[in-house]
Amino acid sequence: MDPSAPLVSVQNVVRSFGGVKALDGLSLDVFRGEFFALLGPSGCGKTTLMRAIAGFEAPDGGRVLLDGVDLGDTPPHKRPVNMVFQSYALFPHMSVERNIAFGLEREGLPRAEVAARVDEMLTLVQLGDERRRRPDQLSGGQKQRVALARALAKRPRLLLLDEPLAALDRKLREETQFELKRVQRRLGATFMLVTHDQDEAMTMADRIAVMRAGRVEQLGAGADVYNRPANRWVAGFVGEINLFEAAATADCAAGASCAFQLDVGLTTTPLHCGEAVAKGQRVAVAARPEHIALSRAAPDQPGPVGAVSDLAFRGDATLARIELPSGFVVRALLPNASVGGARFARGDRVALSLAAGAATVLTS
Amino acid sequence: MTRRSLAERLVLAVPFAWMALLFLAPLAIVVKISLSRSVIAMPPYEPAFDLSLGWADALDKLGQFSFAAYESLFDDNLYVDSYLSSLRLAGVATLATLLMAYPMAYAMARAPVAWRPALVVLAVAPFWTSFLIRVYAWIAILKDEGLLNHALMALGLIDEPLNIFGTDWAVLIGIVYSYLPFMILPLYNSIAAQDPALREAAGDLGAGPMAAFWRVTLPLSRGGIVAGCLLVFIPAVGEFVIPDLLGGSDTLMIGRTMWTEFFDNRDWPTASAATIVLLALLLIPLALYDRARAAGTERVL
Ligand SMILES: Nc1ncnc2c1ncn2[C@@H]1O[C@H](COP(=O)(O)OP(=O)(O)OP(=O)(O)O)[C@@H](O)[C@H]1O
Ligand SMILES: [Mg+2]
Repeated sequence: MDPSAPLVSVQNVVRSFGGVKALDGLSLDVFRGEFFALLGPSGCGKTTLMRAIAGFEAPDGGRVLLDGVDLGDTPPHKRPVNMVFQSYALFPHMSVERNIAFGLEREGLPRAEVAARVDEMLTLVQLGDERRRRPDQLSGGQKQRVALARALAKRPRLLLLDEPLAALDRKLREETQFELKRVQRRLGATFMLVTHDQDEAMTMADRIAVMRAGRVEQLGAGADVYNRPANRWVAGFVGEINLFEAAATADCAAGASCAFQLDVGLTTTPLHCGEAVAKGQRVAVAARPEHIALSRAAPDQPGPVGAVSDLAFRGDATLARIELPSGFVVRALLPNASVGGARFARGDRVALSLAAGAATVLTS
Repeated sequence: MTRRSLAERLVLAVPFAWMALLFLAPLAIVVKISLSRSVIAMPPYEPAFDLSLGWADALDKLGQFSFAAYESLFDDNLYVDSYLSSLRLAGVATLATLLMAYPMAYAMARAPVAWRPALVVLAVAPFWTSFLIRVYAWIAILKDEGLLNHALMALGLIDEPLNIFGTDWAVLIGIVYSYLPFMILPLYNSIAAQDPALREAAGDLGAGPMAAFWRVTLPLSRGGIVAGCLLVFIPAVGEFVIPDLLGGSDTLMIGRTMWTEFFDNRDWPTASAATIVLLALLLIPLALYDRARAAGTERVL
C-alpha cells in the first residue's frame, strides 16, 4: 500500500434529511498518523460526516474509501473505525474495565490478551484506580477518558471524536486537549476530531477542514486557515477579523503582490494575491485585530481617524473598537506588555495603520 | 432540619391516610377474622367485637383469638396443593407473558417516535372492554367446537378438536392474554428510555445486532423485566375469574379455593388465614426484588 495514499477518502458524499442537505457533495482526504479537525458552525454537517464514515448514516451519493477500499454498505460493526460519542455512550451497567473490554471481546481475542490490553488502556488514560467503578460514579473528565480508552483499545485505523471535550469545563478541557494530543502521538494513530471551537481545532489539529452547510470551505494547516483564509466567510468564522472593502491599484497576476486602496482611506503595502486581480477590481482586505496599529491622531492627521468607542481588557492584550466617521467599526488588539506603548481611553481620537504585508486579499 | 408548615404536613399526610384507610384497615380486619373461630351465625365468626359492651368485654374477647384457622389450612392437602398449583401456573404464565411481550415492547420502543403514543394506546386498548367479557369470549374461542378448533381443522392441521377449554392450558392462555399489557408497558418504558447511542456504541465496538441486544439492550431492560414480572405474577397467583371460567373442575388455584371457603362453606376464618398466607408468600418475591435492587446499585455486573 502506498504510504502517501490517503487513509480515508471522502468523495462527493451527499446526505439529505428531508429537504436539508446535511452533506452537499463533500470531499476530503485524511492521511495516516494525522490529527485532523472538522471545524464549522452548528448544523453544518460535522456529525453527519462522522456518522457516514463510521457507518451509521448511509450516504445518498458519493463514496467513503478506507485504505482505498470502498466501505459501501459495510455495517458499523465490521468497519475498522471507532468513534468517541459526544455523549460518551458508556454502558451504564458495566464497570470501566468491562466497558473497555467490550469491543475486544467482540473480536474474540483470548482472555489474557483482552486483560493485557485493558490494563494498557487504563494506564494510558490514567484510570487504573477507577477500573471497577461504574460510569455513574465517574466525573465528566473520567468518563471522557473511558470513552477514549474503549475506542482506542480496538486499535482502530481511524478514531473519530465527536466534540469529545464539549462537556468539560475550560481548565479540564485544556488538560484533556493536551492528553489527546499526547495519546495520538504516542500511538501514531489517525484522529479525526469534530469541534466548533476554533481554538481547539488550532491547538490540536495538523490540518483543519472548515465546513459550512455540508461543504468544505477551506482545508489546510491551522496557521494557513488563520493567516490565509480562503474567502470572506472563513475569514469571518475563524478568529476575529476586520474586513475592509477595497479596490486594486494596479493589475496584479496570480501569485504577485500589489497595493490596495481601502474604502476607509488607507493604502496598503503590497499584498500577496492568490488570484489575478484587475486594476480597480473590488475585493475585501482582511486584517486581524493584532495587525492593526493605533496612534494618537494629530489634528491634521491624514488617513483614517476614528474614536475609541470601547476597550475590552483580555489579560495579555486589550481589544479596542474604533468607530470611523462612516460608522465602520475597526477592532484592534493592543498588547498590554508594551509598557512604554501608548495607552488609550474611550473617546480618544486615533489614527489607524496596517502592519506591512499582514493582510489577506479576498476575492470571494 | 427545616420545619414543615401545616399545609405541607397535611399534603404529606394524605397518601398515608389513604394507605391506612384503604390498605391497612382492611388488612387488619382480615387478620382479625383469620384469628377467629367459625360459627353458624351472623357474622359467621367469633369473637365479634361490640364497643357498646365496653373495653373489658373487648379485652376478654382478645383472649379468645386462636391460630386454629391457620392450623386447619394443613388439615388436608387442599390448601398446600392450591398454593403450589397457583404458584406454578402463575410462574409459567409470567414466563410466557414475558416471552410474548418482549418482542412487542421492543418493536414499540423502536418504532418511529410519532407512532409510539398510538402503539401504547393499542397495547392497552383491551382495557376498554370489561375484563369479564373478554375472558368469556375466550370460552367461545377455546371450547371444543370453538373458533380455534374450527380454524385449525379447516386448515387441516388437526383432525380431532383439541381439548383446551377446561384445562390448565386454557387458564394459562387466559392469564397471558389478560396480563399482557401489564408486561408490555414497563418493558416498553425501559427499552424506550435507553439512549440510542448505546446501541450504536455497541455496533461501533464490533457487536452485531444480536450481540448488541444480548449485551446491552437486554441487561439495560432488567428493571422493566422485573417490574413486569411482578405486575403479572402477583395478581396471577390469586386469580379467580380466569380459572373459574376457563379452567376445569380439577384446575386448582388458591383464588378459587378461597372463594369456595368464603361463599360455599362460609368458613371466613379459614379463608382469611389462607389470604394472609398468600400475602406472606407474595411478599417473598417483592423482598427479593428489593434486595436485588439495593445490591444492584452496589454491584457491578
Ligand atoms: N437524523 C436526522 N434527521 C433530520 N435531520 C437531521 C438528522 N441529523 C442531522 N440532521 C440535520 O442535518 C444538518 C447537519 O446536522 P449535524 O448533526 O451533522 O450538524 P453538526 O455540524 O454536527 O452540528 P452541531 O455542531 O450542532 O453538532 C442539520 O441541519 C440537522 O438538522
Ligand atoms: Mg454534531
